[in-house]
Amino acid sequence: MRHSLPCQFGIVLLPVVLAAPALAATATPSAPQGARATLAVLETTDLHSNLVGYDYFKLAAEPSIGLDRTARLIAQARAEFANSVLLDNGDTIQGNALADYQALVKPLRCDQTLGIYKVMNALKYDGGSIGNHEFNYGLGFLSQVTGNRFQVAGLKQPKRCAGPAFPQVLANVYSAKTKKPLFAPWRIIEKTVSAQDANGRAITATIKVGIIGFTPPTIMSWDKRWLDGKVYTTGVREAALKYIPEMRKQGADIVVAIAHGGLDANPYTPQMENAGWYLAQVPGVDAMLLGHAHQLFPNAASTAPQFNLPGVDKAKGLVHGVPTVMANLWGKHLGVIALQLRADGKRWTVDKDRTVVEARSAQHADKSFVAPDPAVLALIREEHEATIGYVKTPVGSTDFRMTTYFADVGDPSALAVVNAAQTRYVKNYVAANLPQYAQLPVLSMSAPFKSGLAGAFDFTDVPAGNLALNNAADLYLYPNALYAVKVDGAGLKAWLETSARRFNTIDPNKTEPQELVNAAIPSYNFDTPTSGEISYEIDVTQAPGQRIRKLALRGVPVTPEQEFIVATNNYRASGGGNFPGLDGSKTILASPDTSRDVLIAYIRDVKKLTRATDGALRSWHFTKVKTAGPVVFHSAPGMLDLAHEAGLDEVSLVRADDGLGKGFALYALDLAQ
Amino acid sequence: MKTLALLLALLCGVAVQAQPADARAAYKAGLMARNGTGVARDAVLAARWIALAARGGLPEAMFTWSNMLAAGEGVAPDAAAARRWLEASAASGYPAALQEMALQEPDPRQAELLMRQAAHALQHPRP
Repeated sequence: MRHSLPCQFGIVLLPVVLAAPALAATATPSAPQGARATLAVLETTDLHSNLVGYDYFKLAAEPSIGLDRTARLIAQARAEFANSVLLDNGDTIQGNALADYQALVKPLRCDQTLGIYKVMNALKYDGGSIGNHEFNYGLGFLSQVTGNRFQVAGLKQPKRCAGPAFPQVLANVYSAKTKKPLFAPWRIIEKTVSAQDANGRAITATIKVGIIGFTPPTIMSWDKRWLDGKVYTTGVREAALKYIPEMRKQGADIVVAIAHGGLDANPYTPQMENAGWYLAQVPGVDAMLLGHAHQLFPNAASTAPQFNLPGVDKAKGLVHGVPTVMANLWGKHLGVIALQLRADGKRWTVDKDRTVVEARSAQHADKSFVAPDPAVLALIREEHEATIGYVKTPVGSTDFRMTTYFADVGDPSALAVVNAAQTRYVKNYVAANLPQYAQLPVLSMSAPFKSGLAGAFDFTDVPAGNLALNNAADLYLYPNALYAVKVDGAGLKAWLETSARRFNTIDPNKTEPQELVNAAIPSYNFDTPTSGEISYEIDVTQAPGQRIRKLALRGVPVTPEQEFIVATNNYRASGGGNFPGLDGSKTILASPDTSRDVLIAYIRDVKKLTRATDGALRSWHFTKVKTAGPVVFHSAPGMLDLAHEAGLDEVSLVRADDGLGKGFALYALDLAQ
Repeated sequence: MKTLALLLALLCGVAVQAQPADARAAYKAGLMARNGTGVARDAVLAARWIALAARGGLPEAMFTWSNMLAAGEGVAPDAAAARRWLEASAASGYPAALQEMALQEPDPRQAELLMRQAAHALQHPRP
């Protein structure tokens, strides 16, 4: 797998020897013998269209992300280093509501420049590469917004559209039609720099900075629907071996490899997603900009296994001796490789021992953030505001208030619509793709994600009326993907038993108040169905693991062998919460769609949610038992009417202030009712 | 043959770093033993296989191994090791591990960022 040391030296020296005549021919006075210069290579990566620090679903500022803050870091670096090149690694144009708005909701006109490219043009980027997510909106959109005219099957683009004002390079994606690279595989940026001659006097010189880009070949499966038959990829290492010698021949003094990928020391294949560890071993790479893996490199404190691989110096930022940076994601960091260059009369070379690599944070040590550059928002204000308008646009309506204040005691008002949406999605999927399971009942589980953990305000609470995209984020807080599992009756019961650990064991003979909810079991692990098909009781007088009673499907007791399909999310299906038997081995559907998108699609389709169909069905009740003392729980004050509207007449208010100082009220549950 | 070699390594207590294909095979064997699928349920054997798969670099195995260590399933409970494997799985971009990290994270901003990373990781299905 790895070459022996002499072998590595041989590989490194070979192209230098081969390229020597070509270099002699291109020698210019721009590299006067003995001259020295510092060139800072600056990297942004995985910006994902986060132009300003703003959360479009919460409709609130989010200062920990955004290119508007990275812009300050860029300005600081430029003030510090007389010579710099600013490069973007990719995953630039997709990843938030603003990106979706410009690509899907109100697609960009040919004469318009994409918001993020507008800002990057203003920040005077010198170049960039293409990440995997650039392909998410299809080749037509990518061709348009990058100012290209891709020669690929099925794409008719009459003219070149507005795009970035800097070169974009990508060496390992080819058009199937022309067999030529989709983008320029590499470019040479001629940079006029301030340097010092051999005597220390200030001079001006030219450095030819070669940039070459790579994207994960796995785009072919991730964006198969757009790419299949239209483009093909080569391996990252193959592309580097092919083009870097060409770059040298064309006079590149230094070669900066912009690889949208991280590090992986598994045996190399041309499909390898994170090929940086191998790329660094290709002769001629002077600096490497990584991305995609959303990691911070260098980072001496990192525990990531990829940073403890042989040849990786996570403190100095070296991979097989190549200065390497990965600037995290969303503009949280700026990668800075201060290349120390010296000239030998013919060309500039990198003094790797003196080169310093850093990833600079937009967050200070005291946790505050650098101030945003207001020029960024000014440039894209129209796009920003239009996106906010889009997020607030109604997709449907509800005739009832959907809340989780009483989800622990059975109010399904905020859960039923999630379960209904998931059930419908999975039923449709099974009917279309899994005929062998067509006879199996499809259930759905969901849990209240917001249950007062952060305070009495921290509940899902969507008022009756119009439902917009941001309401969907309240109804489905976490960015899960929809998954479905096949379980048997014993597995289903075990699942419900694990959920029922949410409750303390109640002693009916105790006269003093008993807390119903076990706060050590988070609400997001209280999965319940909300359907008329399945029914059961939770007997809280029994020990955990022995509480589920009368589990029945359409009134018929469930047998341990009976099979079910259950719609859930990737977290649960993959083992989140460590539910018995759920560890990925029962998954029959790993949908690419998020649970939230499934919910939004359902609301769009149903249009008008009513309590009768989408907010009242219950699958479970507490087993009736007379208790000598009260059974109590905590929720937000002033909500008793909501419990009664949900049919929970067994709930009563004990005190409007539970006395614990966090703003909760104390409610009682009459288990005998 | 590979399985036999792995089993021998297990039985002999040899520290081995499984190759990816082996890690996958070890994980499969571990899940079968864990869930009693086609074989007798055996938590201790499951723990050995799944630990081997985790050490072989399989992110989903790291996550399951983290869960087993936390719960003391087939192995003595070890919260610190559970956390280390959870972090390793998350660092490999495994969505459920990132989500678990987010859910355990007390700082709401950090939790939110971890959730977003999970959302992003979910867009990169791995075979």
